[in-house]
Amino acid sequence: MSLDPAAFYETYAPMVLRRCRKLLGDDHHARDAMHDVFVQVLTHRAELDDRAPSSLLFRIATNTCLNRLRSRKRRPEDGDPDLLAQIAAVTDPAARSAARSALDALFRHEPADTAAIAVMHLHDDMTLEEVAAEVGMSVSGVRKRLAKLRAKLHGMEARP
Amino acid sequence: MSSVPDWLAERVALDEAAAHRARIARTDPRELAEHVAALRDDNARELAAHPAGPAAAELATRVAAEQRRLAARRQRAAWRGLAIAAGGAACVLVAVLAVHRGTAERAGGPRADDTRVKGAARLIAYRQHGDSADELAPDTVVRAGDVIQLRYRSGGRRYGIIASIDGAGGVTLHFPADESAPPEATAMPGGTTALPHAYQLDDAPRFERFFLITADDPIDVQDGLAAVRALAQRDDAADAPLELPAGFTQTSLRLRKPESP
Repeated sequence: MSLDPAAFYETYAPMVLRRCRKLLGDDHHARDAMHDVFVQVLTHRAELDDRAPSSLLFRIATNTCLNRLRSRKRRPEDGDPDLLAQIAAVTDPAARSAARSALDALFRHEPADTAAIAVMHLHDDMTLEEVAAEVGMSVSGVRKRLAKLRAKLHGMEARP
Repeated sequence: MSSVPDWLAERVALDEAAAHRARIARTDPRELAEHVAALRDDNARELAAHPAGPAAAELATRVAAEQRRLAARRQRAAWRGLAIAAGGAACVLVAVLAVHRGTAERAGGPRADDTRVKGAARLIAYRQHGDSADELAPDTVVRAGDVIQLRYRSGGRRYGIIASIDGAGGVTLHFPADESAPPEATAMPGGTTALPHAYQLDDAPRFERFFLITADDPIDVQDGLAAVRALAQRDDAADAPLELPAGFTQTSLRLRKPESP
């Protein structure tokens, strides 16, 4: 993808920043994450195509923020992000009480993009088809990932 | 609250919503227009406060550093591939040399067993109790909710990363702060230093094991974490050392979880 970094930044930075702010809930961390997103995209720009960069940036921003949430999850002074807990609550309301402590285990052995799929479907209100297009998977693949996540959550809840 | 999802409004505002016509058709046009207008106002405010020029210059510096890092990584991978391909021939050569020159170990240069589990590097864990903290001996029993503060000493090596694994296979990076940090961010101070963050144990079973990996050169954080993640998936994760390339030192500290939480 051939691009002028300054023009690219001017066009997309506010959108990426809003996405990061929404997931991280903090302006300082969101700006750091936004810069990480642009570094990733600009580093690999020769390998990217230029169709709808907003979709690519949205996906990278989502993954970057989820990685940051995982990294800071256990640092008390950074606060306690609620987003993943909300996801678990939406997935299965009965699991609410166990969700917070179980979330790390829930996503731990899953492919890296499973959490992003869950966020897009359950938090961003994307349909399965829209999620599939976003992450480059089949609809049935997305459905299977979410079903596996739900089953895992049920299994964890049933565990004594 | 708007029924228009943010991501859809963002793409309409950027004129990149051609793939989402069906979804747009299901939204309230007035709401969508208001949402898009609000985003464009926010864009203008953001770019007035943070113009693209200085940000792009800062990004260019980081992108150049990242490209150098990736190039060095590719070069290391190529060397590793070469080393594996040459492995069989090298074994024969070393055996011949050992016969003629005595022990091959004195030949110098890095070897796989340069990875040392022991050394001057040290990890020390403290459990916080209000304003005070107790140092935790290896295999101390800790519980979910305990707040742990780590201190470390790099043992004279200039670079390091600190990560932990738990009995559920989870991996947490403690230093540097982010796994996308460049290798230079693994620089460690001399002396004994506390991590800037305490952290809270979760309910993972069996154990929590901390690793300090050190080296004389900047460490690729992703490579270091890959070794930690590989061990975390193994059955002997509570006891086995990390599999690291030559030139790295590792030390670990294990804390136990109660049998019945």
